[in-house]
Amino acid sequence: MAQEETTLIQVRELYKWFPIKVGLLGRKSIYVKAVDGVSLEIKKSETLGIVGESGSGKTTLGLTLMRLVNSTKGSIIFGGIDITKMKGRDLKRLRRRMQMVFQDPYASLDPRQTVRSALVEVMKIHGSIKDSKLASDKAAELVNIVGLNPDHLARFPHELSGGQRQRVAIARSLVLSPEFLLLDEPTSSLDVSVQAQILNLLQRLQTELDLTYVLISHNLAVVRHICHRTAVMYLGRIVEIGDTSQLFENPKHPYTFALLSSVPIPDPEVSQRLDVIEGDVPSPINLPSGCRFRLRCPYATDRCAAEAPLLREIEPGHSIECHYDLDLNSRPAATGAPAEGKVGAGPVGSA
Amino acid sequence: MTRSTSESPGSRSAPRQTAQAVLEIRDLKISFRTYLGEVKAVDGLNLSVSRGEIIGLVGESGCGKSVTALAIAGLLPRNADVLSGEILIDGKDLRKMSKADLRRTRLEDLAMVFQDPMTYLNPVLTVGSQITEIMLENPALNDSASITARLDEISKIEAERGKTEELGLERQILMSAGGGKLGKRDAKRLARLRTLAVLRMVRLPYPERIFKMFPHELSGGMRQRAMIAMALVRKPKLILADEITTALDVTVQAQVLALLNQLKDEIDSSIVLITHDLGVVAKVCNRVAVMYAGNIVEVAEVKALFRKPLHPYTVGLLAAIPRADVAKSELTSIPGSVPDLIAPPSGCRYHPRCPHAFAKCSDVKPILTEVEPNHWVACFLFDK
Repeated sequence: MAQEETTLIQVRELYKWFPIKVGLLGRKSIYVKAVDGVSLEIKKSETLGIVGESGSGKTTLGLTLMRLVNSTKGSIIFGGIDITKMKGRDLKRLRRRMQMVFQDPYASLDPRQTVRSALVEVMKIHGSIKDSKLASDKAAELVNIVGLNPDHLARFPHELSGGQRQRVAIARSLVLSPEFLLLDEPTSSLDVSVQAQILNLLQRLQTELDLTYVLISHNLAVVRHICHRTAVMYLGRIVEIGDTSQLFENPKHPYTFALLSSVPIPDPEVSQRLDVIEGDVPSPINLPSGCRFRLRCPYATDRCAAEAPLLREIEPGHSIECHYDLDLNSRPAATGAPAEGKVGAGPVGSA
Repeated sequence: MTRSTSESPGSRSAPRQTAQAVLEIRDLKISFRTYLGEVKAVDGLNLSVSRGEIIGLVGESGCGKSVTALAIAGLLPRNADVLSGEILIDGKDLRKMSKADLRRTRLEDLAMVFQDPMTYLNPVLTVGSQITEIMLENPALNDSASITARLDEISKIEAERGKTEELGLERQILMSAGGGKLGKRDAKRLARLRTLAVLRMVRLPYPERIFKMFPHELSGGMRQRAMIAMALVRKPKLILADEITTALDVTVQAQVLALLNQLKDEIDSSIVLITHDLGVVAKVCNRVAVMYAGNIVEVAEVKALFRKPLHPYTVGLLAAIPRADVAKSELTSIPGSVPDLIAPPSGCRYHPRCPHAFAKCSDVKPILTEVEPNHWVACFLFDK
């Protein structure tokens, strides 16, 4: 089947609920529904962006995908194999094919390990290269690939800048020549001038090494810049997914629209109405009935309270979890509010 | 609309006494003693902030923007030394003040809002009691001059916008002072009234309920609003806002930014908004100062800066930010990284990363010069 060739990861109805003990003697459990029924497909060689606010479940979804956290329900198919319940040696072998880059390179690198030993350790653990001379050569090759020079191999993390540390973390994720990288906020702890270097590096590596990425970020500008497709999460579910340009230029879910409108545009001449939605993200413990966005949604109706919408395709490759087909770009965002001066997420013309 | 005409950022050609400047910093140098050596965090900074304006102080981490704010507030840690310079608030040098005067200035003229409201709000006191405390501590609340002034103000507001119950109540309390001071109970009632007004001002819903709540009962955005209310309540001349939206989610950040924009017209305070996000600057500031490695490299009106950035660092920074509203084909990155301020580069601190650097840049430090009206830049490329 053609689909099998292009799909690298398929996620079906994935759930991850974290129990919290409450009540006298902790006998009763309530659940934080961090991931609450997510289905998606990750195509080979693409970058899928997962965006959402804090508490939306994007990191938990990532960790569940990587099998670093076990799912409560649902299945993850990686390259045609169901990895949801994989264990032991099989799981270790799987790890070679999927690697992860974390947000904070200050925390994800061992402060007492040189760059070389951090890279060689991975080869040792997985037995990919046993000869120490070859291993050392491989480490040198990797630092070169990520734009560092061989001098850096002997250094400790504290001798490197934030950007350089993140390059080391990326090099380490590439040691085993994986097919898939999960990038969890890879540039959030970096300064903008350095962020651009890392984003450019990630893009170059993707084409050179034919990698598939999932990029988790709260920074919509970063996602727009490097992702082919984007999924927007809200309280544990994907509320909109589609091609990045489609989704950013013509968002169809009111939450996506609000999220995009909230990003301050670094151009004082683009007039922008910032406060398009009110309130904060509610707690993922007591979810509202029906659609979980309805309490903040300016278009919510009785139907939204009664019936939870399901993800449905509205145009090829673009799905939303909303009962309605709203024309958001041409309507005022909040009911009764004037549309004057409002810039949606659509193509924004500078005044 | 810019509400203020910008004065020079206080360099050589600046007049000694700018009547309008709320804050004037001249040649400020700060360094930190660390076990690795002396960190030259701020290196000869000049800045002037005029009344009612919102000025953005932007830069990457370690550029000295927060240190500058802490120096203004007199909150520098013990291992920091102010080597030289003047920090004038309303013409008075904070560094030459007695402890008592400094305390009074901080109480009356200066407020600070920090990044993480949970760390700065007292978890065991209600929001209301924390805000009223500031007012009760402030002697200016309860001297006869300010009571008379406030009574006049109330009459003026009533003449302009009509009477309200709240104003009537405030007048009644103030009148009870009878030309002297307010009694303890009346002072408390007045503080409560003003706290509610300021909670309303930052658009917190149900101010009476919020007044009695503890910080942990509020969401992140509400806490930050409470912090802003705390800053506004004493009507300071200057508010230092250090990364106030960084810890918030983007939709909540947008709400706080919208609030700042609304407050702009309601308050007289000047705001120094410290941020690393150029988007935030573009949306709320009148003017912006760009910092790099302890220096201000460019100061301009916000529109001018975004339309025509002059300093190579500003140009690089603007080219390096990805945007959510338009697709950028490629990000131009700035090579290298922020220098180590224990051994900062000689001359212009940006020269090792600058694509236009020439011999002079590594020898001489450029100073801020006005190259276009109100547009100041510290770079030899614009030497005439």
